[in-house]
Amino acid sequence: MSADDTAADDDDVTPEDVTAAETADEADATPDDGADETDEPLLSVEDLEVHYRPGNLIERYLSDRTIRAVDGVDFELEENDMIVLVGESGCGKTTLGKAAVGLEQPTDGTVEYKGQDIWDSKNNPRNADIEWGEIRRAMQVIHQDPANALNSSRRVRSILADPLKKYRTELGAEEREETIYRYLEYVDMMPPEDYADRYPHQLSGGEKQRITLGRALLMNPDVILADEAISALDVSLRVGMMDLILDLQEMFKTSYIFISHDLANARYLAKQSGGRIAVMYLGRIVEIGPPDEIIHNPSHPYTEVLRWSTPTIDPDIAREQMSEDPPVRRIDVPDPEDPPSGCHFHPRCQYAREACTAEDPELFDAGGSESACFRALPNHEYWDSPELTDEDETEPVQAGFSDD
Amino acid sequence: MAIDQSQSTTAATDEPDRDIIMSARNVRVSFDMSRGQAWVLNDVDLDIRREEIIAVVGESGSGKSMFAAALMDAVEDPGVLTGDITYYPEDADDGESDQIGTFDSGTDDEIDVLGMTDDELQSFRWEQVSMVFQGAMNSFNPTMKLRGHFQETVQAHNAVLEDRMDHVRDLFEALHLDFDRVMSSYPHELSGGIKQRALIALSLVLEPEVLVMDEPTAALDLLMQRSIISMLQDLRDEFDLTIVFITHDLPLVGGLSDRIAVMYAFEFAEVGDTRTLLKDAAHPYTRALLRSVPSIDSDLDEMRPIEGQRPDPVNIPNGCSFHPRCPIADDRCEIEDPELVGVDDDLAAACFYPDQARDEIPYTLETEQMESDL
Repeated sequence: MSADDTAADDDDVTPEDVTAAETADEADATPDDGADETDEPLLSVEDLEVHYRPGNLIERYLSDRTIRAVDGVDFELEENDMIVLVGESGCGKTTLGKAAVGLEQPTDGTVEYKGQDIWDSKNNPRNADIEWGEIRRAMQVIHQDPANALNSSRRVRSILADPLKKYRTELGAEEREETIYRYLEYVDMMPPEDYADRYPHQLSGGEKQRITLGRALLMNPDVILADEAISALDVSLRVGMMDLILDLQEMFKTSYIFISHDLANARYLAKQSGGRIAVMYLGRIVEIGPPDEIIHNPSHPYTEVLRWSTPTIDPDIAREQMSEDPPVRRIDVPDPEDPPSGCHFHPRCQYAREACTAEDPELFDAGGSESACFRALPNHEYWDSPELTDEDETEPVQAGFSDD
Repeated sequence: MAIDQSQSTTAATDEPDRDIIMSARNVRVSFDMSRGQAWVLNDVDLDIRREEIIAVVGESGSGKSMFAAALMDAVEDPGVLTGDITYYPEDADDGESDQIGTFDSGTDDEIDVLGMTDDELQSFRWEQVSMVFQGAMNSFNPTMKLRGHFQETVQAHNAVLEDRMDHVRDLFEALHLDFDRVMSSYPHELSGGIKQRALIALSLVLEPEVLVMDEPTAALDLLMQRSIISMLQDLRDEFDLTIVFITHDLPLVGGLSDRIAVMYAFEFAEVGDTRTLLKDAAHPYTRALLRSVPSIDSDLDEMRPIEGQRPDPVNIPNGCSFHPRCPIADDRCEIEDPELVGVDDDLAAACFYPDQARDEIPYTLETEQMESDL
């Protein structure tokens, strides 16, 4: 631990040193940690499905209802990467995030951490290259409401000591204290000695969220899942929290899966970090790509809908947009228990044609982004198939701005 | 904080201005707490103009919901509400108007809202001023069909639902609701968006003049939120409504409201025409707020959070309540509390140095230019 001690004494230490030292420690602790050197992506999610059986035990047994919360998702996360999952409530973005970091066992598909199937590691520990415990450490979570994520009867000091006591057992009491102070400084809580003695109720919402970020970083994770991590903060403080996350990402090279329902904030994070935005709809990623493409040149009709739903602040443009009809045929979301055939979005899609009801589009290359829409393919039969009219629908449009 | 009379209209004088429908003067709400007295509304004045959509914008804990409650004398105990809230009914001189329900404005051309008896208040709410809360779609009785809710509300005001049917159908149409289906459904059979719109229809069943909406779209999907915003403008035009729209979401109201009132620390920091206020705000807080909220297409390089924390209601800073966080504050701001003073036509800010604020706190609404833009 000598490297770490020097790090603590030296104010100008770059966090890369710290991280390097800590990674070295980890490597010592887990000698079979050989997967580090391969070309595998950090996290690879393939064909992921999470289906729930709703109801109580008996209902679940008697009926075959399933809710397809996540329904066939693939994505890869590199080191020092950022992916922002956006979508409306109920689209499955939280479930996908949880499954991706091993908090939720998928009903089908795989999640691989550095090439190691994480559920395989848990269920067959003998054959695992990377231990389950190591995987759990490498993937941390920040929740939406920091007030519920911190034990209200413990001081910041003891909250932050927990991860160190569990994963850095070699640290003595004094070294642990120094590490806690150092991380408090990283998350902008100065002076750290003062904040370490406080209880959560003596902190503002923004400060509490910074403690949870510091606590996650203390585990030296490779991936942090941030589930609506700024939504509980005051509007004027959100940019500050996002900037802190971005600065610390630069320092620690951590990868983030950031979940947001707000396209404007998603754009900020993805753009400032060079990451991607993934748009989810009814359990699937329908478009994924760099923020400029998603915002300014959306390929999927649903991305257009999200874009329309996010108002512009410029009053002149906003007033103009006010008179525009929404780019959908109906505004209500279908039941996830009984998703529509073919493309899940077709009953609401303004461009839907017969072909969309039959076949389910996968993600196609659409120029800057990947989009799950046949319109990305110039030679698809979509272009020759007849347009859908509302008469074809089994249910009447009850709340849409149907073209009447 | 009094409004500069040259800027505001002449509502507070003896002759009521026909353009003003409600006015608040020196309104305060306080709570006794063990730590001392907490002011959650600190001497605020505001005129609400007839048939306007005014957005009251503030962050959480700025007092905006308390202002909404105060407008209807609905501040809950142990909160103490003082000051004057005056309501100017339309065509009061007519005597017998086409009034529905039990509320009788008599021949008064101004009504003291805080001086009403409980009975008077009961009919005043719903018939003159109505309110829609955040997540209020969950306030429906789960064992009663929607028609029952309309029936009950109308009966409580001595009116008959059958006489109101044409009006209700008009409302449903304006809100894109299927009348037969929604009326014969139980609340759990309807989606959140439909319930929230049905609730807006319910709040308008007795043809109130003013609709106060506290974060009416906050619990809804983005698309539904945006769609309801579009419907509100149609509602206002069709039913000659005045809408007070309370929200924390500044971008949401840019296209909707005629005027915006920005709240900070339990008082109004800036009040003015939507376009003027958003394009070139005069109060440092408004400018800092606009600079801290990334919008969907604005330039991102200039984004900064507002340093510091919002004040504690028990311990509001002396002088200007924003001075501890304000980059241009000086000695005067620490001692003296600025009043709302006219800066431009139809823009008033509670700041001593609006020109300096405009010079020194930059923000831009300019949209970023994209090559890929079509």
